[in-house]
Amino acid sequence: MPKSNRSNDGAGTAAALFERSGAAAYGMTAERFAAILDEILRKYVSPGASLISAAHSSSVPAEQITGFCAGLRLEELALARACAAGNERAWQDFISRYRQKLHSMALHITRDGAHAADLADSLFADLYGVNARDGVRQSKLMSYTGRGSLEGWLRTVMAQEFINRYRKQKRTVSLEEQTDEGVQFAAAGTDPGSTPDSASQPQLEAATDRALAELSAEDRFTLAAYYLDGRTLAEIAGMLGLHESSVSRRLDRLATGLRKRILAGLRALGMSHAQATEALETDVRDMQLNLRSRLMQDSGTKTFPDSRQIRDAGDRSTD
Amino acid sequence: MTEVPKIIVNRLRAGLPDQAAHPEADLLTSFVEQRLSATERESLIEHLALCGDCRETIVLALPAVEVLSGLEANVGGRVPAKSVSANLSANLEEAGTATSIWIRLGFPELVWPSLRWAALAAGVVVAASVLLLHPGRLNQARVPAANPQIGTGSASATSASAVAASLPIAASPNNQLEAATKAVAAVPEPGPKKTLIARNDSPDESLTDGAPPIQKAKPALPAAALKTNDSSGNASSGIDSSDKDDDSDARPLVTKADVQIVQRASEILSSESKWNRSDTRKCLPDARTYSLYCALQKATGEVTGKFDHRGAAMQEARFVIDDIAPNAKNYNHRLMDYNNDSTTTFPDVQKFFGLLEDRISKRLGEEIQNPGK
Repeated sequence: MPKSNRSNDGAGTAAALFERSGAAAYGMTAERFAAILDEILRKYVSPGASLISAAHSSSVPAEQITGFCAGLRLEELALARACAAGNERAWQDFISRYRQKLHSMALHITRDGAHAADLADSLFADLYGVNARDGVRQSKLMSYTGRGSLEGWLRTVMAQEFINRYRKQKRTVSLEEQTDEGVQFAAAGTDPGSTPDSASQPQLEAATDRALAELSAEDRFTLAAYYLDGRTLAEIAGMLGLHESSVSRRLDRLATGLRKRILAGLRALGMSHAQATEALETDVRDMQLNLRSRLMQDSGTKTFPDSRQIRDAGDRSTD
Repeated sequence: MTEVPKIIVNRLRAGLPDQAAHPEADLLTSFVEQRLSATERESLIEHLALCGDCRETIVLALPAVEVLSGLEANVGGRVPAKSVSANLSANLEEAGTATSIWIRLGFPELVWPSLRWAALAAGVVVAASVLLLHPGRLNQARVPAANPQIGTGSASATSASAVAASLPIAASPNNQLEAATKAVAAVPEPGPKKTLIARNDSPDESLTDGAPPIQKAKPALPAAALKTNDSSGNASSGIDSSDKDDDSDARPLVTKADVQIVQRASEILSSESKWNRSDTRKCLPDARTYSLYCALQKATGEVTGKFDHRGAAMQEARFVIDDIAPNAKNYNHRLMDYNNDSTTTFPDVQKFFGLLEDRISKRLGEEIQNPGK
């Protein structure tokens, strides 16, 4: 398609998307909204993708760009970005739609009235952007891109905040409190894996790691969610968009398959069938407490780098 | 649920990343809402497999409706009663979200509480009507299990039903079943033995596949228990349903013939014009178009000379659907429902066969390497 035609089509599409979004009600111009869409396209589709500027998006098919933009939650995107830009009417709409929900979400996550109020208020402050940089408010809503629902995004952001707080609190818990909670600490100098009773441990670990590595990421995710996190079938099914019975079947298959693969791996390492079975049945979790791994699991969450990038991009183009 | 050796849990934990950057809330939300592209999803799930924090985030961010459904599924499950009640009370307080459940389900008018009860009452009436009008149907799938003799009869289930219907005693479901049993047992055996469920009138999978997982008591090593001792290498002889309860999770050993079955089925469905998108699992001999089920059935017949509804190729095909079909949770008959699903495209069907062949080939390799395991 000639560039001029494509550019016209892009402008037409941008106009249609702008109208669908209702951004005009918040005083947002079509150009500003198109710039937001371009920013999201660059982030998720291609660094050179653009809705209107055909010259910059020649590498990406127009259908892909249009399809991607049409799949966004345009109305919620407009609301979020208008709020981030400080539009009063947008804030009124946001508060009427989400304030109560934010408190309910917080209660759902914390299961405690006081903590819920604290969490919701804290998030609300982040959304409003109480922290200013160079005189400009930094609203968390700038990082919403409309790929999922705004309500879902708010739940996710709140959950992340809750986990961050929990981790901070956990770090400050005294050793005595942890001991009271049943945490056991390895003796100084104990090298995990070199326990005298665990002569076969390295082989077992190697065979297990190999068997796990052969699984797909989704299978490992399912195993970790069920056996490591103690998630329910319903929760895993909710995360994967499957039925509980499908998750149940998958877990059974994985458990059986892993066992077979580990045994085969141990036999390949020279163990007899009886030795391999015995090694597999040994309760290694009791033999070694992999504190390092636990600490790695609890390691600090880096602030998402892309969030900052998108905030910066938004700052440059804020009305 | 099958337990795993503790080393597996330990090594899963050991695989967690060190100071890795986490995905943005946008991506996690899109994942929960099933809005990611396949590539994005794969990449994200790779991270989730290793990151406990992000898994935790996703669970906390699941909409309340998911937690409510979890409530039903977790009777006897792993969620402590306290957390379930906490979820419930939180959800009940979340009036707005509770309302949206009905809207999400496509029944905005049921937001009015009394209408919900009316809908429930109507559902009960419909269910009761079905039971009264078709009492025999619910027993069909239990025939092979309850009456081993039927499984080795040579008359088709259709003819058995016809004979049973002609008998005057078929007044109650039990009598109907008994009559069918006697009728089938009375038919002489002109040819080689075939199992009842090897015919088009295969058991109603919904009675097994749709059953809540918590109702299935499983052995620690189900696959080992399900292995057959058939050394003939017959592909479709994996589970003799006449001897066992019909198990929708059966996983018989695979053989080379199973690979051939899948290849042949893929040939049968080599073009979209040959694809029957409206499967009823009634596979006619003179059919010109084939559903997934019928293509696999025809291929099995051509390769092995007989058909087993729970043969290795058929079962692995169902497991593939479990894993790839976005709507698998709604399926009662995986092969038929995936075939008929409006979102399933012909390229999906081709990919399905490719994946199925890969999996069976891989299993075959493993079983050859580790015979008897």
